[in-house]
Amino acid sequence: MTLKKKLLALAAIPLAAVLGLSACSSGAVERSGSEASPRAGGSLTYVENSYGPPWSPHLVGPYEHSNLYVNIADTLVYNDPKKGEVPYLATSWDVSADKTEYTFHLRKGVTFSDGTPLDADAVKLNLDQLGLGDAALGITPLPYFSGYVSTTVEDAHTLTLKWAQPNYYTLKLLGIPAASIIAPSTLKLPATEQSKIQNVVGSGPFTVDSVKKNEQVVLKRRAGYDWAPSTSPNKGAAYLDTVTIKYVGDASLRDGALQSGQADIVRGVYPSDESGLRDQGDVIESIDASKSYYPYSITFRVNNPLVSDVRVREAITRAIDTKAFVKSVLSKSYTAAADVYGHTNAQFIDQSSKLSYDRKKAARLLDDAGWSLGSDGVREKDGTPLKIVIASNQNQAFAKDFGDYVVDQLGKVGIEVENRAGDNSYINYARSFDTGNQVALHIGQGWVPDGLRNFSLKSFTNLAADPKLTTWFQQERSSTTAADVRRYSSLQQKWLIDNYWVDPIVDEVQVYGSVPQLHGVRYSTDLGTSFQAAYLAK
Amino acid sequence: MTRAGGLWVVLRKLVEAAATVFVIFTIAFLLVNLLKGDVVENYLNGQGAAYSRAQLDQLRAFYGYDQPLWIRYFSQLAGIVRGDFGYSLSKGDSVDALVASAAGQTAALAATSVVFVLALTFVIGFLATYERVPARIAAAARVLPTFFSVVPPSWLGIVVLTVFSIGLRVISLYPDGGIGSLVAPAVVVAVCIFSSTAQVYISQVRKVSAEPYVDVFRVAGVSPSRLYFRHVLANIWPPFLTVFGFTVALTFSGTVVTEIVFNRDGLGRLLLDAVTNNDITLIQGLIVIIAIVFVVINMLTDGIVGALNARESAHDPAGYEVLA
Repeated sequence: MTLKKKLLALAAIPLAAVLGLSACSSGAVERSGSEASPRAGGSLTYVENSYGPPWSPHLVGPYEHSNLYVNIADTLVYNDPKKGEVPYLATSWDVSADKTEYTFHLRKGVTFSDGTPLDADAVKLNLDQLGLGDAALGITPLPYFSGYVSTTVEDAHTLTLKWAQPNYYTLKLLGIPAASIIAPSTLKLPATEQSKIQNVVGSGPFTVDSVKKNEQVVLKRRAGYDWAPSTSPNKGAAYLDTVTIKYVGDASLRDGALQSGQADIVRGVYPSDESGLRDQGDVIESIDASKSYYPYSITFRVNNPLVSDVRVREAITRAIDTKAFVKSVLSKSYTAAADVYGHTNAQFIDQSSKLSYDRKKAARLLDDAGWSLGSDGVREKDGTPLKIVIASNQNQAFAKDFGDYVVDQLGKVGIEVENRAGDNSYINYARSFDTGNQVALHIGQGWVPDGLRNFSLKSFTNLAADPKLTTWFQQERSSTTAADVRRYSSLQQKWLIDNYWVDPIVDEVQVYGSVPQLHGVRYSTDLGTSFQAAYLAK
Repeated sequence: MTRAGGLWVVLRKLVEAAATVFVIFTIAFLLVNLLKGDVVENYLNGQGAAYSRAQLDQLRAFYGYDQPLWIRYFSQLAGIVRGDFGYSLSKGDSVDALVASAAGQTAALAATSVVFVLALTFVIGFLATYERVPARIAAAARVLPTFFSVVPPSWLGIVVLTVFSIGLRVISLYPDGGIGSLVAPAVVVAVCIFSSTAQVYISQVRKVSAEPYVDVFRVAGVSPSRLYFRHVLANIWPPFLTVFGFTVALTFSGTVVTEIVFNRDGLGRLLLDAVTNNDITLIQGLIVIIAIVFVVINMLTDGIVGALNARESAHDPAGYEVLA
């Protein structure tokens, strides 16, 4: 490389930041090499955001957790983004007439990477820990599996899962990365040992080869693997010899890794770097997560006195011009949200009219609620100024930018905002049952594998419960028909927006950047990033 | 000083060190237990699903966070004596294992940083004080340390990575075992912390140069270089070493930010994560371990200064009195 080229490459990062807003190139995915002939061999470098222990299986962790687990373990069912729940470790299933019993027929000949068989006994142990936990080992049951009664082993390859009442989301839940089937040798360890990734034995297309804490995890191809999901283009073992997962916290450095050829694929591309990377020939993909995640949203803590009045909550919702934020700060990879579900979720209802930007109405609502403008431009009521602090989780590279945007937008209607997005200890404070209600807004996205749990039940997101929501949530979950699910779900969706408990901002997506030679990366509905069918073309 | 007296001094130092660590543990224990927030709750909330109070309490009991304060105090104290610093729930590993994996990385980074601190100190210090260096360069060298002491290491780190890794592609963006990925963060640390050693070097050289004996040597015709290296530098060590000891300790704090920017494992990153997650076991374990490191470094510096003083007085009983 000539010096001039090097200097050009050097200039590209700030340039990308400057040009990003104006020069949006086409979103077409162009990959090089032949799709028809996957190349075996090669090493892939995948750059993730942050090293995310504890690595315990059966734990709904951040994306980093799922993205590792889908490569080292398998699930009974695969959540295919196009075809829904398809066979994986279970080749077929039968459901009882009352929809409380699911009988699974396991694929034969599957082994864990320690050589032990993946049979009905092993699956039962997994389901028991998911549904009941194991107090002696320090394992808590996964809340999504509440209502689990038991698993009965019928024969070596057949088992029956029993619920106390129907669970409409059974198959979907068995496909989430947290429901990975793990070897009994791991599950018999106490929680303090299950949390170490080197102790986790799965049946997946890769095994953990080496770990350098906080720096990297190296995955090695497992020879002989031939039990991929039925929809995978690769029926056999992985093509890649190794996958090295690196952890880089800074979004611009991740993009720099891709730009400088030090990474083949990165997760969490910074919005303003997208066009620069595309111009260089890299592939930018916005992977839709709306089937498993609710949008990046503001959740109001209705028990906080500053936002206990619905008029204040509507005013805040109306005062933030979300569409302008998506357009000016984000990129074409993102869509402004219009419901507590993203646009591609089956339950989506367009509620955008209740969420639309209207600064005048916002000011009027605040006046009506008794918050009048003080001499310093900040509204106050009975001597209390309308000052709020915002906390956000870190799953989006734009979290801090959104916080800054909220400071600006709410400032224009007389609400003073302190942006603490990006401060991890503050988000922990904001999520605590004891201290969380001192923080008026919580911002972030979250899982919805079995309905609007984080909103309809008391959770760290809302820190409040409403009996109507709870009832509808339970009715939705125990429904047996899609029509009933729709009915009870829409009741919750409308109630949450009508009462301004939630202000959805941006549909959840994860933006990946990759080199054009990379083919076949598979993203499940839950956004597990699988490299089982991936290969690097020459 | 008699041999038995020396042994007594060593013993007294060790008892003092142990007492210091004990006091620090006690203070750390009390402080972390005053912290709002709860590692068990953060652990559950980190999983994104709505957990119940009952599950929270069950896990608190499993990890021993439900025990009365005094029981935890004594069991943890006993643990420390055994070398067991507890289990970090947020990291899913024992504190000793986490420290063991991080310490080597931090030590390598800190040691390399120290080498660069010394190199920078001597080069800049020499340029600032040697009489044959042109005045303009000497003046620049005198302000450089202060200038760099206000550069934030995180900013400098990003600049270094953007220029040398992403732009020029001469070093790796992540630690790859190569020399470049160790030298780059070490230089960043060194540049940001070498000001105190450089300043004490400069001030001591000036102080010693003003001593009457230096004029005597000069009049006697000793060459400027010989005068500088043999007679001036030789007498700046005791105060220099004291400040140098502090700087060595300071490299550990310099590594905190650098480890994160350079995507390295290390003690600094571990401490930051511990605080972020309210992981009181990890915070406390790290405080105690870092205290032990500081105490040991302090003891070693004291020992070296003491030995130098002893040698100095033995070598030249009536001679130059060391400035403290």
